[in-house]
Amino acid sequence: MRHRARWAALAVAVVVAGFGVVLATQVSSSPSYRGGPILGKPAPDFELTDLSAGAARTDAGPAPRIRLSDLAGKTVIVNFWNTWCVPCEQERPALAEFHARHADDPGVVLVGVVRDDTEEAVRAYVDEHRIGWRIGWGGRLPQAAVDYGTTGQPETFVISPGGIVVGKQLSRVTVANLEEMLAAGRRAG
Amino acid sequence: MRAALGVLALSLGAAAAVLGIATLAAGLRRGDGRLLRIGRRYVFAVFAASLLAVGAMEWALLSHDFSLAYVARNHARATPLLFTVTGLWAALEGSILLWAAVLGGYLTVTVIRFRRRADDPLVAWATLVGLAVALFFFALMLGPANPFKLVEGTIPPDGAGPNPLLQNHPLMAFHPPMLYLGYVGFTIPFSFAVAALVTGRFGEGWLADTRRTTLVAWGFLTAGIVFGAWWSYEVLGWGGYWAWDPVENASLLPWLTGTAFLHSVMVQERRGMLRVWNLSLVIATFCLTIFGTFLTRSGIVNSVHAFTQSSIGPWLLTFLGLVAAVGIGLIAWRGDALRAPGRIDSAVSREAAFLGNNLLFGGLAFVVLLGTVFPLVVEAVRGEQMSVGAPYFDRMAVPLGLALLFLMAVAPALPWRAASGAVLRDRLAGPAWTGALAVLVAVVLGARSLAAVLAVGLAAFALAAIVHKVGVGIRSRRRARQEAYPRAAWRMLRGNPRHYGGLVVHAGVVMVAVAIAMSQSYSTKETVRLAEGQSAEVAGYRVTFLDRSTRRTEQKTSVVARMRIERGGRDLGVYAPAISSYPRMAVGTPSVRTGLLRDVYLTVASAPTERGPVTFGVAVNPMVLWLWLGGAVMAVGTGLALVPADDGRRRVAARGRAAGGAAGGGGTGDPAGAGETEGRGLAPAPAGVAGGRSARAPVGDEEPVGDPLPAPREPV
Amino acid sequence: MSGRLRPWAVWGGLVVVVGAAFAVVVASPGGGPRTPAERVHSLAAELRCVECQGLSVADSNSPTAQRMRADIERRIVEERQTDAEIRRAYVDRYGEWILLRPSGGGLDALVWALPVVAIMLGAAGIGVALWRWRRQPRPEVRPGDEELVADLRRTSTPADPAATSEVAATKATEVRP
Repeated sequence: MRHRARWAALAVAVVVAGFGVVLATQVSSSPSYRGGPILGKPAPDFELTDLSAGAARTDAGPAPRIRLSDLAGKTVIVNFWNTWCVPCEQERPALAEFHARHADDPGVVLVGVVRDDTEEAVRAYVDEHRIGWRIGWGGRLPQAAVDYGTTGQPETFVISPGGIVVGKQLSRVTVANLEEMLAAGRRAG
Repeated sequence: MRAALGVLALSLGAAAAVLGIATLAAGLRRGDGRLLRIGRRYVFAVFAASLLAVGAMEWALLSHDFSLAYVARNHARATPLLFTVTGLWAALEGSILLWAAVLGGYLTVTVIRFRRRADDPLVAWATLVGLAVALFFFALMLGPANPFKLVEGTIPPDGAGPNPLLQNHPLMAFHPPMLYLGYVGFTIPFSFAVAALVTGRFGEGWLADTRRTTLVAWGFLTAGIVFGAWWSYEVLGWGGYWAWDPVENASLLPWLTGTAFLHSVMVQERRGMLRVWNLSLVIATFCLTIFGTFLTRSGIVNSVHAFTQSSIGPWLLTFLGLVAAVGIGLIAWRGDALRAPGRIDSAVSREAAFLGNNLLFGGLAFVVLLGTVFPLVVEAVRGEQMSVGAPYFDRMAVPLGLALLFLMAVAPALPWRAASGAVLRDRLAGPAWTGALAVLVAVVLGARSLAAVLAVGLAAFALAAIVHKVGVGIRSRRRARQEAYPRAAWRMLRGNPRHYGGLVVHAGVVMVAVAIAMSQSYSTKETVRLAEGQSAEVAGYRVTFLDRSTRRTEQKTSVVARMRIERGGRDLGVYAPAISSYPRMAVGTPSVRTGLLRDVYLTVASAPTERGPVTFGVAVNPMVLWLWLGGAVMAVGTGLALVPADDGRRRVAARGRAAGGAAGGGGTGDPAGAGETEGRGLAPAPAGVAGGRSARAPVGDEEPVGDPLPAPREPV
Repeated sequence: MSGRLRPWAVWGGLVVVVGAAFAVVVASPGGGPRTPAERVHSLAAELRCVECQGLSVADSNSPTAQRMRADIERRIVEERQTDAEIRRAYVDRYGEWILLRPSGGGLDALVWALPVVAIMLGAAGIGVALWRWRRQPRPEVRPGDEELVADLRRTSTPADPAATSEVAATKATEVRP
């Protein structure tokens, strides 16, 4: 084999070039913001402390709870958030408007599940921003955050009336996004 | 003002690089030595420009100039002085600036070193390639990674400050610059390799020219990696020193190929073989330094170090492609002319051992590279994400590491060319039995982890082989010259510092290997929840939570928990792990009791409330101190290997010259050195080089003394 | 040591001693039923902490990692799930990337196989090269050669770089730092 170095160099060049192409495609691609392995699976149940603005707050007696199983038959939009994440703050007006639009519809429920925050901070935030929709808190990092496969916040899921997760969005939501998710949830029935 | 100064400096640097390249190219084309001499001066201009830009950035940082976007993002008024200064390399653009400055420094040193050979096309081509690399980095800074970009809109009154993880510890001052001194240093041997390929002078010349620079770069890279591990352990607080993080891997890759290169050059120096391989290795090492930068900066792989995704990725990738293309092309063009007629006579010889060394280091580099980029490839092909983490790397690296330990023990004892059974027995039987003894002791003491037992045995083997070799060397020197032990040792070291420096580095590696084996196999970690006054018992240590205190500054809220450690009733002191809550993240500060045999590692697991029990992490890690000590020994060994060899000939030659005697022809090859008159390269009577040397060809197992000329000394 | 012991005593004894020690290590029970804490730790070491970059759940102190460890413990203790079931549950929630040890079929197997193949190929290459070199006839040293070499060494001067190695010429002109 006479021109051994040339053949070796050619082989190396092919490998490196192929590799370069792979890297190039990955450099320019952006991560997907929709979907995930939980789609199509039954929504994991959760039971959290209810920190909603309207919930009774007494030091005596058990704290009010919010359970997903209580909401069976409705289309539920679950939004994982906390008080200090910037995109969460940015999407709050969209959530507020969506909530206002569907406040009278008993078949639609918006639930905000706190992910990675303290109870005091959440209470203060809910009061300060007059958050109207249901807020659930389950410890610093609730079991629900792991059950839904969240990796951060904000993450928004839509659960059909039949209890299946039919939509997931990782980026902050707009009103249009929420309406889309709601429609998908209703369709799945 | 500062921004303008900075941009001006960058432009000057880029312009100087362009002019330098053009001048050198013209001089090379026309064979005009004058142009070559002028061209090299542009290197000084490039260096000066980079220093000016660094100065401008430091000025901006120190004067809280928030009109610069970089300063606004990485500095705040409250940032302490040390971290203000180190803010230069806190983020992407500043790191590129540091890279350019270090490159300018290396190029300047190289140009000064070779000033007498400015006419030499090899040197001129190397300078040209170096300037081309520098030009790329200046172009980066004038393009996507501009450190002097101005803030859009109004100038903020205060900045965001550096990432809290980056101002936790003074080590921040040392780790990145040391790594960069390592990375960037490999540009020089790369430039010379390209020059050698282009000029057709691919003998041992370029190797000799770059030997010291390669060793310096390697030394700094080693130190940078060890510092990084130390920082990870003592500062980041997750309890380990190596996470197989993509950025850690990025620094390890050039280290692996660089180490392979340092060893295989000895085969080329001694036998003239492996030329193509060595050229490929050094080009690959340089490519890996750029690749590492690409991995770190492009945001393509998530990592502890990754900063925001920026457009620098495509630039770096293109440059990498260009370098790879040039390197591969040159080797394809010249490769077949490079084949030397040498051969390896026996599988049991030093040369064969070096081949094995390269195979294993290459294999290790392949594993690390594959594991790091495999998730990217899979995502490109299959569209879904997967991870390759510590379990993979550990499983693959351990057998390779153990095999390398074995080679490290055996190879220095192997003669060149071929070994006889008797020689092997003489040199290795004792050390091998020492290793076996260590294995026995370990098993008797209860060790049941195969990897740990093997590591200990091989480490003892290697250490004993080193001691044996040094001992034999000292003894034979004493016998030959009737010197006292200390003097014999000293003269032996000075006679061949490269070899003995290497042995010291190997001793350091042994320490590191044992430390890794022990701490990986026998660490204990437990999470305990304690109220004030409560204790817990972990691996024989009793830790008691004493009290907590909360400190609030404008930057953060810190909770410091004091804990007492006791063992066997003896009080070992009070240690204070802490957890600091910044606006958007919590950073734990571990408190480590470093012991000779064991470390006790305390962390606060999560930000506690004002009262109530606190969750602590308590770990007992054996032998971690030996990792840092081993690293220090490796640094000492590297320094020793850089010392110029002095085997008495220079002094004797000087005496000979002073007495008016000519250097030529006087030597008769007296191996004891008394009659030799040759100088060591600086001699103006080069006849001494040929004449003073013994007519006896180097035989079998003699060590080359320091530099590549195989000059026979006493058999070691 | 050199002349006194026969080679087989030295090396054979070594093999026996080391072999015995390893036999003890390999044969020792080692595994066996592990405590829940050990199982939690080893499973957590295989799962990737989702908020960190590359750390395992065992190593990380982030809130998610702490919750995941608690979840793993609950699965082991209360629901009595096996290691494989727990891993599957996490893959179902997060996807394959939650596993730090690549264990999917097909493409994933490549990451394990390729290094082994590469090293074996390299070793084979070296072996082939060594074998071929052995078969080459060694250059013979003819009677007049030794004198010729000694003669050249005595008389040639490195002022002519072509005569001796390039290195000598380099050394003559390079300035030491």
